[in-house]
Amino acid sequence: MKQDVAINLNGEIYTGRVELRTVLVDFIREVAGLTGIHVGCGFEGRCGSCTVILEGVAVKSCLMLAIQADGAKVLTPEGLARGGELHPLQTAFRDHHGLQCGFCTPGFLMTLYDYVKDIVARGEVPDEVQIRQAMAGVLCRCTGYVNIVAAVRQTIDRLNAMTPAERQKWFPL
Amino acid sequence: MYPKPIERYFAPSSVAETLALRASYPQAVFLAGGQSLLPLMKARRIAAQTLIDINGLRELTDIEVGTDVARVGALVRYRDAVEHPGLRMQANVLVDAALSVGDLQVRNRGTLVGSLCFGDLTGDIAPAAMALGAHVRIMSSTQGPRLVPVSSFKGEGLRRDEIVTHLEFRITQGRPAGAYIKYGRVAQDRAIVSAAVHLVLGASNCIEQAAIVIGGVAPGPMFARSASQELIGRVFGTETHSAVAAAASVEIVTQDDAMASAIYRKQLIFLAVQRALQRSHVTRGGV
Repeated sequence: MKQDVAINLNGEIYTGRVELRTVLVDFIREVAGLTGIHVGCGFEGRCGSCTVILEGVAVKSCLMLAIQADGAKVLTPEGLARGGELHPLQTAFRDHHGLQCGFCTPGFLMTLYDYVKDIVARGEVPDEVQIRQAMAGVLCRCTGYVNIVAAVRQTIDRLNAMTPAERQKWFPL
Repeated sequence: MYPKPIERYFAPSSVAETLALRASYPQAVFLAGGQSLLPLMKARRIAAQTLIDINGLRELTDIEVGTDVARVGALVRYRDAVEHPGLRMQANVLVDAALSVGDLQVRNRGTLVGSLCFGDLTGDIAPAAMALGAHVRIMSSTQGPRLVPVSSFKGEGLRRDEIVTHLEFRITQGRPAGAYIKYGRVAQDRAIVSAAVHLVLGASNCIEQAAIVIGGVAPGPMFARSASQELIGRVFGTETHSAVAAAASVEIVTQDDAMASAIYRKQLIFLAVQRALQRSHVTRGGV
């Protein structure tokens, strides 16, 4: 059984006629052609590389059907940079070399987008354990997470140093 | 793997509409957060030819903490529970349990009621809800609502024209305290053993009610009644955690399985109860 699905990805509407059983990650990668997010574990919901922001929160796009996101706003790694400028998270990952092979990086960026947005809004400064717990849903097999934690710290510091309006620019969803 | 073909997908916007659909398609599967259902559909252990996606039921998205009763709607996600100060105040055990589920992404989608309906014996919400003496509220298209204690609720026991709309528990007189501690193979994994503690304190911090529930054991979460009894009448803060924990470890029957041996589970029960009692103090301290 097929059905029309229309999803707002990074501000642009993508439409496609897909099987009901199509998972969201396949719509994004195969129909919309946005291959920034990855499938690491074979759709089991374990690796987190397919994480996207759906209506403001991080979700694993292999654990949802595309039809469930019909009409929704979704952000993928392609939508992080603004006007040619990298997102503070992307800058921090580059500054601290928070990646090696890079396969899992989109999952970290999207998960941490949700986390840092929330943490900065609440004015909290997390410790290392809290940061590691926040990214428990994304697996990295190269880095050992140390540089990623450093990148998260830098991101939070940079965001805290911005005015609310500047900060808002980086969190469209 | 990939789910088997789905023939029909409905996204109703009210409970009445949902029940009507359920009546028309008795084999239909309800889809809430989907964080347990989707993996099972992909593993082809569940074939959902007809899916009823209840995520559009706005009437079930609220947490209401009243003076007598608290209700958690079927679409309240773990994250909503974690971020609700009123719920934390009355039922820290439930908030702790919600926070121990999966990871950030899973907590953004998964629902507390969904966990109860799914009925996994390693689930985190059932032990916490049992410690609170909670019920599930079940709506039917033909009869009035009914309440079933979480301790005797089995998701598959729902009739064809029914849906669970809420998790609810009574707010008792006195000050509540509680905590949930889980041991898994890795952090935030499924429970090998978990302990849910809920206490109600009366005058001079005397423990008037106490419930300890152990999760991760077969055939499902169990009340540690003797251990709970040890707490009654003690002044909160002077009870002997190790004596209570030892009582729980003795009375709960444990099983060998691929995750852990029975004897190892006994040891974990001791530690989980001890830590849950300690944490009940820590979380109560700031209030």
